[in-house]
Amino acid sequence: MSQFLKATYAILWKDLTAERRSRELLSAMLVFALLVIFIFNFALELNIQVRATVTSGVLWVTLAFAGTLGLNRSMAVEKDRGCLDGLLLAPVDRTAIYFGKMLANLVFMLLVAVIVLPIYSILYNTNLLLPGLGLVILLGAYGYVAVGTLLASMAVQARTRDILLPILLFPVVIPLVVAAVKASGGILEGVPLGEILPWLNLLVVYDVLFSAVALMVFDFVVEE
Amino acid sequence: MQETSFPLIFSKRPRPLVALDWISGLLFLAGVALVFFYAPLEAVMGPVQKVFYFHVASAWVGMLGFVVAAVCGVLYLVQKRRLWDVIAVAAVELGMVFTLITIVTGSIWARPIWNTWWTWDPRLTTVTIMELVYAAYLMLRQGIEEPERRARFGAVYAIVGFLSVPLTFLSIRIFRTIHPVVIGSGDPGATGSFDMTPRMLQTFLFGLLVFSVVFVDWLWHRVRIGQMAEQVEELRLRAMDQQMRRATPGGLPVLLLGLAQEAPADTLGYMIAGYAVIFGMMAVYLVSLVVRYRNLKLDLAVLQELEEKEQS
Repeated sequence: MSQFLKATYAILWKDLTAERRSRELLSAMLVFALLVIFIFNFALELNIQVRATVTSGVLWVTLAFAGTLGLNRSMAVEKDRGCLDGLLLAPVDRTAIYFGKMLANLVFMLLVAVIVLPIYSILYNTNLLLPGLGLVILLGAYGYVAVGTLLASMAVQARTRDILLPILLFPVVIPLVVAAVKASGGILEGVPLGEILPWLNLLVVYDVLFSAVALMVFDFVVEE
Repeated sequence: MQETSFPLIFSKRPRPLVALDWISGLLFLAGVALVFFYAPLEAVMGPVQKVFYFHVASAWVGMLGFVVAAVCGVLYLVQKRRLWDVIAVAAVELGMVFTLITIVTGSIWARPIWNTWWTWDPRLTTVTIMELVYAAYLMLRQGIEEPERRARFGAVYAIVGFLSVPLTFLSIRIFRTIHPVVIGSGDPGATGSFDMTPRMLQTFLFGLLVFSVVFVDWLWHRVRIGQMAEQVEELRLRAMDQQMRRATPGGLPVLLLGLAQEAPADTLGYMIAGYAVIFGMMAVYLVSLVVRYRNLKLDLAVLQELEEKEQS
């Protein structure tokens, strides 16, 4: 087990270090996220009445799109430079590779959220820095990258990889996104916890179910 | 064709399949007769309610296709037998055809009863998202050339996609539904619900049986075509190895659907439209199966000739 954790940590550390030195991924995700918010601003006429109801939706669409960008890139880098073969040659449990990549993607997505939330709060003069929202974003982002990392590692091995990931990912994450939007919306509107709880439960179920499935099938995805 | 190094194994249907073809054909005719002449007219909705029998039956068969695909996915990952993959693709394709029939007939039924072609109800939405999941499945397969990897990825995605469907349903369920729950207890106020008379129930159950048999029959045919396609692919790769590239016939007919808007005054038109869609789409799919079968047969013949020439 400690071997597994060590390998996971090594992969996570590798990804974070590479990102710290190149800053390719995070900057792209951030700029993209901000652009999406600006487009929404004009597309939806985000005045005060509309804003109250659509904020959580705008937030999650932004995170989901930026997340796709990151997922695609994080696996494509491994594939293009032949790093994936190197990783697979390492004498470690292959699910550790999945877990390491997944955690790295989670870190990137959360970082994007950490930067986007205050900016959104300033731009629209609403406070999004609530602990409850943080929890929902953690649960939602976890489920998103759990499925996303698995599907991205398949998509990069296909001919049509850049267009394939969103097509594979979006229909499968719909329940996650719906639950996350509803839960965030509830928290932002100050709805009592009892009404949000079903959505949080659904998020937890999704996270547990799909991390378990990904752990079971990841071996088959990278098997050569 | 005389002796070949690679025997044409699919030149003839096996006898059980021929029998099944006849049985499913006759059952289908009987089912149609029951729907139109045996089942009574529903008092409120009129003729359009008759869409119900084949609407639910094709929904059931569509679901069955996706279940079969997920099970075959698991079996493939465990045993690595090519056959499971061929069955999985066949099941997904049939599932998509019948699910599409369900969506379109449901839409036609909804127009006069709910006064709209579409509503964002949990079941409608889930079924449509499910259709999109499997469209993604087919696109994933299309993007991968190596058969073994294609099979593995297909299996993984069939499992992941299938597991997401109940969660999708759950997540959308919170919105109030107006889809009638005819089987089991449901909201009695839902528009378009009705109580089944014994004759309706008999017709309905018979419809389920008919579609199940038709599903098995078509699945069998589709699996045979899948195996043939594999054989052709193998031969083609070999032919290409021998540096004899040649254009070969093939390709799918494009499914085209035209839906005419009609006035909602008389629901007879909607019933006719519903069944036109069911028969039409089933016929189009059958034709596509036949066309593919013939194309593959031609391919096989051409490739075998090449092989013979190469060997002599």
